Amino acid sequence: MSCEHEQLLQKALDGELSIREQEAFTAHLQQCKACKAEYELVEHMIVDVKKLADISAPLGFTANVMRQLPAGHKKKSPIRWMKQHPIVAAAAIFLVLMVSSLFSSWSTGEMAIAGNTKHLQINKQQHEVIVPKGETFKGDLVVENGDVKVEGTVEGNVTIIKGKRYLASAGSITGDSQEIHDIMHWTWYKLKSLVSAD
Amino acid sequence: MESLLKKLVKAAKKGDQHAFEGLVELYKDRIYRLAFRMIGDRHEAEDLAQEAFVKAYMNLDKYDDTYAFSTWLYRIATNLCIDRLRKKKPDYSMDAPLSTSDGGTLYQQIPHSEEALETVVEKREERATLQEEISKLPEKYRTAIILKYIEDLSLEEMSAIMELPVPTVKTRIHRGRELLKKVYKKVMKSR
Repeated sequence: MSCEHEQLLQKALDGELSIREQEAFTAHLQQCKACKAEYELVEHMIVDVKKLADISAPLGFTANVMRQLPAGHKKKSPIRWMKQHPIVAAAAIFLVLMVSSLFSSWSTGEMAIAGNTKHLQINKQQHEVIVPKGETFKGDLVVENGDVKVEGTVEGNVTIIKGKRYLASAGSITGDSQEIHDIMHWTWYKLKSLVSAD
Repeated sequence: MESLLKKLVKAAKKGDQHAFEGLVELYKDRIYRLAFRMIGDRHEAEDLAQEAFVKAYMNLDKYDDTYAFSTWLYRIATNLCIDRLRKKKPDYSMDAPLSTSDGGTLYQQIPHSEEALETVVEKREERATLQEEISKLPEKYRTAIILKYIEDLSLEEMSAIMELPVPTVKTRIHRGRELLKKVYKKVMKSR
């Protein structure tokens, strides 16, 4: 195939022949078997390649894509920002909560009890929690801003924040017992309980 | 149709996931088909096509009306496919251009085993063979052939997707066609 015909052939395959070129090309194909075979082969091949288009996306495709999208975003919203910087966001939130709780809850004098209060005797005015004689407190007992008198039994850990523990001779605590008096210990305790809360 | 599409794109840009879902429905077949014909593996193609949509979603704010949405989507998908192919490629590739010759590949120099081709008779096998042969084309020619003949896109669209001038796109179609023709001839003979 001559160079000229090769160019015509490519143009014909691209569908870019002018009317005059088309005439010349058709005339040439009638004379030249090689060019004709070549042209027909490529045309046939293109038809076969085009047949490869008959596939479609698998079932559930769209749902799978939607599942992978981040939950509804708005441009530059704080939530989107947090999604892009999860660690910074977590640290920032933690810091804010930490500082605010430090200042608010360390200074309040309200007595707070964590644990099942059913078996406890609570004396709010005197800031006192009593585990009465003969009673058994099951689980961990945490008391803030109050003293704890154990006359009965505590089956678990006792933690007292800004308070004292009085253990009567008949009383017993099966777990650990600790008193927290300063802000550093208290912060450490809060941190630990945050982590272990998961 | 045009205006519905524009509305969907506009809403999706504002963060409307339902609108984006509509866009996925509209283009999933084309994008999946492109990925499958580029990669040749159904699972990988599905992964890649999904990745393309997720990437499009994340970058919606960067899309402007300069190109059709489909062009933009095709570009993301094509680039992802090419990245994947490059990562998969072994150090020593049959498709890699030879440093000594001008653009030819090792693959072209090895004659196809006539015996292997003689067994190819059934239509399905023939289709698979053609897909295989397309998969063996170097990426740039493969992309051109797929976009042109399977996706049926215009040279201008292809130029925008491939980020190349129209004459270069044309050259790639010609070259890809020539490379494919050589193996196709053998498949035909074996019938």
